[in-house]
Amino acid sequence: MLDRQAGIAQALAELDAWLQTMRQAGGYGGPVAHWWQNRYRYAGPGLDWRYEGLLSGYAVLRSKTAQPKWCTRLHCAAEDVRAGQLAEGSYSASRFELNPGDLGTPHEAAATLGLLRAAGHLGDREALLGVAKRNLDNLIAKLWDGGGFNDRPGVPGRVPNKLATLAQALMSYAEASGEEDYLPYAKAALEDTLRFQVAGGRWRGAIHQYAADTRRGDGRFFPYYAARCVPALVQASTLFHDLRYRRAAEQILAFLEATRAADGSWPQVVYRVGRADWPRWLAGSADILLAYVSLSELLPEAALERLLESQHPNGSFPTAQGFSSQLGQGAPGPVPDYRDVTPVVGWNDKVLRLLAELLVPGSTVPEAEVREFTTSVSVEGVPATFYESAHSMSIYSLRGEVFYAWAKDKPWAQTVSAEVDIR
Amino acid sequence: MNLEVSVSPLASLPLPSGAHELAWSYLLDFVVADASMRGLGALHVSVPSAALVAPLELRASVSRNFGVKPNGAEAGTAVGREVGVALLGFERRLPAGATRLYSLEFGLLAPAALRRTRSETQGWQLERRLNVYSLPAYLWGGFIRVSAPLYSKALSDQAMFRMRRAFTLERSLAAFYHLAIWTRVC
Repeated sequence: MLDRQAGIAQALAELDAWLQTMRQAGGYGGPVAHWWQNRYRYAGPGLDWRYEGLLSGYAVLRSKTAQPKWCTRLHCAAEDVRAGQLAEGSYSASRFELNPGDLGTPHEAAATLGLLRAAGHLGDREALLGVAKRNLDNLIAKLWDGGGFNDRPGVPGRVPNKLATLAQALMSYAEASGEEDYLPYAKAALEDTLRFQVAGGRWRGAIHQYAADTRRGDGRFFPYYAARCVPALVQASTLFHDLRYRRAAEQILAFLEATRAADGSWPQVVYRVGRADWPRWLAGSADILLAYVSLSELLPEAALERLLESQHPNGSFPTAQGFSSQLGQGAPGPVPDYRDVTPVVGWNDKVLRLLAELLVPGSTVPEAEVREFTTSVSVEGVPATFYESAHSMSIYSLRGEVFYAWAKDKPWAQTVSAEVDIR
Repeated sequence: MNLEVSVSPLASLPLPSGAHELAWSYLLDFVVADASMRGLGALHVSVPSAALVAPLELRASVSRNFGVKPNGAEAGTAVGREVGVALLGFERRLPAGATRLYSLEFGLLAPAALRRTRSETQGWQLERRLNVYSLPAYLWGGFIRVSAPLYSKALSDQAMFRMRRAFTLERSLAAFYHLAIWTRVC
């Protein structure tokens, strides 16, 4: 127990030190690797769901430790979001793997949720509530179709896991402000989430990823996205005194248990027939483990070990295993894909938050320094080297051909080869 | 860097949605990133659709050395002296003093009316060409639409990844968009 706590504190220290190297003017930046798309050319600040984990994690650390630096982190991150709010209430560059773009879903709701968690620790609480309210008002104005929330303005479609995040932001604003105007919208979003939960059969408890016509789910079940619904459902169960939400959350946990592999990993997606195992999240698995924490369930030890052991020497956590197998779904080779290795702030924030939740109150997180990090990767089958320092990130072939070069204080990468610019 | 945007509509241009939205993300990212990294003092951009103005301005604002702030505030001090021009719409006249040119042309996958869009490049040296929304990507997109009624999400997901992998190609195969980057030589 003591060893585990010491390990968590050290992991937090090194992760936090790495995160500070990813700051540039405007906020936390860096490339993005994701199931849906990638963004390596734009590496500037993203006011997206990375701020949910950053603000939530630093808020928990502020509460659990007496260390003043967490207050500084909170101030900086909250100011990033406040300063990046556009006139209509959106956040600049909030679309994560589709950046640059605004009205990111669930990203803006997630960033607002983080802001709400941080507001109570900061002196300008009322100003931050104002930022949150403007953002939520804009999301409602753009996405509400009279019966529920679409994913894009004017385009019918429901994405349940995004609705759960939005519901959580709406509920959290109500709890922070005492205003109840948003609660009917939160309930509508939650009911839509329940509507797309599988009631029986092999994947009972799973949540459909998308409903294009707002009526029928698409038959894709992502353990990661199902897990993201759990904290919102648990919060709703308490707020609305409705056990249906808690039961739905518990059924999601059963789905997570049914799909977890012996090594503690989860497949990317299971379909009604078949599955796509790869890539399997590493840093992002922290959100799956957070679902267990939300339900006060014991964490699967293999999953936590797998996550902790994956931490890079420079303090960051890798994105995944098996991106090279995303196409074809064969077994991954021995050399990781460059997307597996690339540390992404918008996945590492989830680790920050989880580890903060697991840290025992009264702990002290030690200081840490960032080391240079070099490892072998594959770029479209070509052997290459990934290099990262406190100031830059690059990928180059064994002959010295530069696939990728990014100076961390710049919003755009200097060099992006066609292989790395695959979106 | 100062950004000036104008809308110069092109008939027959598809709406920037779906595959074309992805294409424009490549095109606008490349133009703005290149201009930003080169430290251009000014960038004049003519876009073929009003729907592209906001995405362009957002990219300029996050580049920071551009003169457009997120709330549309006034431009700051120009960074360098080079002037870039991006001719992405119908307008093909070059303002005086431009030293870097981003010229959008349309390839075999585009309607004939668009394929006639050309820039005058005498006195310019071609530095690079970016081919966006290639023929293989177009064909994979068609496969996705055909497989949708079969309700095989696994199949359509794999097709989507193949489409994105083939979306831009260095080789000059048939594509919808060709972005040519030129440097003035005289």
